[in-house]
Amino acid sequence: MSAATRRSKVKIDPELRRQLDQAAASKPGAIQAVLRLRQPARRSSRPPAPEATQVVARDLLARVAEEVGAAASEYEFNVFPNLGYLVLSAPAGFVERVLHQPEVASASANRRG
Amino acid sequence: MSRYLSQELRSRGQARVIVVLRAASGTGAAASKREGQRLGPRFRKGGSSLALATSLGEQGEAYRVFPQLGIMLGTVDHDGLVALRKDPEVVSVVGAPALSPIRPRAVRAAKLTSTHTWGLERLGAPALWERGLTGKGVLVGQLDTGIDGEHPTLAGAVAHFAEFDLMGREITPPPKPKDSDEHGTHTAATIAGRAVGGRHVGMAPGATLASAAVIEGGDAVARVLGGMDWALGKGVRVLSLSLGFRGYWPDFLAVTRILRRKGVLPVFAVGNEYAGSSRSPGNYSEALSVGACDKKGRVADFSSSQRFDRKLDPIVPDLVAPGVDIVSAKPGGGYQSMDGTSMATPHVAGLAALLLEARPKASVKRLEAALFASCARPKGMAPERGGKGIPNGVAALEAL
Repeated sequence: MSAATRRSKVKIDPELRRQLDQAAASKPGAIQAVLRLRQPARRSSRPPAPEATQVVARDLLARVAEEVGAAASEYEFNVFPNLGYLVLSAPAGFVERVLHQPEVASASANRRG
Repeated sequence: MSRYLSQELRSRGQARVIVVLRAASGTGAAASKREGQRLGPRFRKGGSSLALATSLGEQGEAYRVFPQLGIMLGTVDHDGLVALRKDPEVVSVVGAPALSPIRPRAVRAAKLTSTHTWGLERLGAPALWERGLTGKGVLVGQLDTGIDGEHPTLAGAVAHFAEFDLMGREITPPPKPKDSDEHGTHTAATIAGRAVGGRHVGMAPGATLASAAVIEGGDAVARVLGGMDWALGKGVRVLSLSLGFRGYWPDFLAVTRILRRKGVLPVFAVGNEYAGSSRSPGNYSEALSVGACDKKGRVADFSSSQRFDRKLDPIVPDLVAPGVDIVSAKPGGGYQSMDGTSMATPHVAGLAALLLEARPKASVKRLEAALFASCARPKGMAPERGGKGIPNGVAALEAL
């Protein structure tokens, strides 16, 4: 496992954990997760600067896509540059791998249904 | 099946759901409408909750189609849920339980008979207007059900409007300002409504709004985040939120801190579920949480309040503001009266705009401190229910 994919201390809200576990157990399909990003190089909990957030998010997702062998059509995302957040809709395995990335500070479910 | 859906079906025999249609969002608006009509019989008429009855309109429609989003919102029983899930034009059916506008406890027809409403007077807005303060030059963010931009009191008040999909993406082309309900128009006009015929409903009649539709038909965290991000990008100094999750959910905690760090005062409603309850994000230490009081300065019985086991700001709300029998704009024209902490919150947001016009460089911390310093608790108001009490515009200006 590379340094980039080493498990980081990501706060995951229980609802997202439940949705991921449920998807892994029985139901394949997209999971929607809201991710708070941080600056991994500085070991800071602060979000990246607005102008850097898009780049951080795209690099992160491209790296994970390569690792899990996912095509770009298998996930969609939206970046909130002023807030340093990312919302991701992807298969559970993809989301799980994203949660292990150092750029991710915390994660929660987009939907609480 | 999700926990929410199974619980609702077991206990109430029905559940509020969002149906995601195969017709693509935006590009498939017409197809969404057609599919919505075809699937309509799967929904139950007249959902039982107040929130649902209000959101679906007084005509008792069983569902609502959001063609731009490609979704439907309505109430189903078990059979309806099964049928929808089997339908080839339905991508998914998910529960829609939590994030919602904080519904008014009462809605009444009303006429505007005085030169300004009692709430504006109680917070000292007319006295600040006399000093030349109207909120001019201050942009206030308001995330709600949308806004009726054609209402006379909102003419010239809406600087920016946007609507967001479930992933928090802005829907393009930007629609004209519209309200998917009536909640957003009411709260918007309380912030920045202009005088019509010499009569005022808005605290800061010179302020402008960055207003976004982020709830109704897709209660997703990302929708609200999309609205917050957008409002921040527009340069708002105050963010008024009359919505929330029941209970304590940390989803918006980090983002509330970001708002403060970027110079935006987060003014959030605490909820309408009585003492011992509260909503997130209104119950964060980092939010300026607002409860409701009546004309006599008493905390409204429905106004939420709660003590948390934390050092900083353990009691919510921080303060209370006029939230009973509040007359403000009604979509389509005219006025109506509503009760709720949703109505109290825009009063405080508007007051903050007046203060920011006077002291544009004031930090969030200083602005909040001035509002708190101006508060007074009327006799009989317990801090556990009313926090620091009711703010006063003139006293806040002097403290700033």
